[in-house]
Amino acid sequence: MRVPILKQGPFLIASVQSALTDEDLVQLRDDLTQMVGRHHSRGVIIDVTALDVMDSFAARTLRSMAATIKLKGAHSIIVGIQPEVAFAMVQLGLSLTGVSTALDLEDGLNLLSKQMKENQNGG
Amino acid sequence: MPEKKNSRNSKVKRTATDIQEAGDYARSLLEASLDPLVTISPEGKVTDVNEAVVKVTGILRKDLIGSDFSDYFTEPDKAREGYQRVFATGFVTDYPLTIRHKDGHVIEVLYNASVYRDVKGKVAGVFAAARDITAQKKTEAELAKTNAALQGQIEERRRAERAILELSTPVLQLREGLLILPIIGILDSQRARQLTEQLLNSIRDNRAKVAVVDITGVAAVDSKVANHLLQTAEAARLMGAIVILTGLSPEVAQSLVSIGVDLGRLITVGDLQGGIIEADRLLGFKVVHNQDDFTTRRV
Repeated sequence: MRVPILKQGPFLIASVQSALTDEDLVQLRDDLTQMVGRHHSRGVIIDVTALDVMDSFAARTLRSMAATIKLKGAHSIIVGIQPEVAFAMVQLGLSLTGVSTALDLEDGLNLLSKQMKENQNGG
Repeated sequence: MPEKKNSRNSKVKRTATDIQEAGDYARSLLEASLDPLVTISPEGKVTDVNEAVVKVTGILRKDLIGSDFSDYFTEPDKAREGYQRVFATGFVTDYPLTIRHKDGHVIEVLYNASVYRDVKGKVAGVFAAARDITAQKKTEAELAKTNAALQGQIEERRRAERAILELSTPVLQLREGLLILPIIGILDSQRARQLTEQLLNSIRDNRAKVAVVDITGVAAVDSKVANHLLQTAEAARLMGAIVILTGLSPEVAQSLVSIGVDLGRLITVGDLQGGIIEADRLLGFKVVHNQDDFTTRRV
């Protein structure tokens, strides 16, 4: 099932609706990379609120997704990891190091806006 | 010639006496036995008993001999099955039966029985010995009762412990986005897990971005507890929140360093006050102290 990706100004929002197969994850990574390039997006939010489980393949793919998108000039934020999923992940040693996180979509967008402002002021 | 006859007679008399004495000796042992002893014919009739059998059944010896063995039990069929098994396999051990005394009371016993043979080697009958386990059974019943009572106490104790656990890990919201968790007492794996659950749920419910976990009141922090705290901080990060650990005493800090725990990924501040100042900084709060206002209000 293809994950819907919405454009919100300079940002892209990918909302995961249900459990993702390995193929879905790879597809998402390719779609996002492509769209970031096409729209010159500055940030990407991947909303995993609907996910009950996060396995090692998903964690690895999300990390590589963030790294790839970074190379294309955009910052990624994973939002919506539920308490049970967060707990299970750390117990399994899946920590998503190097990937930014936020509580939900609202916090994620605030974070991206703040970063964009900082970049503009700095650069 | 008369001497030879005399010596032969005395020899015969001596042998007869020996046999008699041997027989008397054996019989006296059987009668002295505290365990009821019976012999059972292949037809299931009692062929011999000792004094203990008379006592345990309340029936006279002359009435016992020739009667059906199974007549004296609460489960006659089970008794019959028992001696039939002995005839078939040669022996039976710890066979449970219940003897009914003439006056109505019952005696729980375990039977050990085996076949015995005549001089020619042919099976002559079953020799059965009963062991009274009434007292044993009573003890078993009492033990079961005590166990049940103890179980009840254990359940109650567990309930109390759970209640204490819930009391001692409150999650307090100090300001918008700032949570404080003062931990007091023993931090074991179960409690650490509960603490993490509560924290993560509170982060979601209060939309918290910083959580200050204070362990001033925690008695001992070993590497296991330290790892629990590390995991808690990582899980909080996955939800977009930062954990600041405060209240590590110099001793605790020392022991953690010597164990070799890498708390590098964790933000630690000496005390709660310092932790809150750092949290305010991260959240963008500024605390202003207006000295004049304070003085006026005191009056």
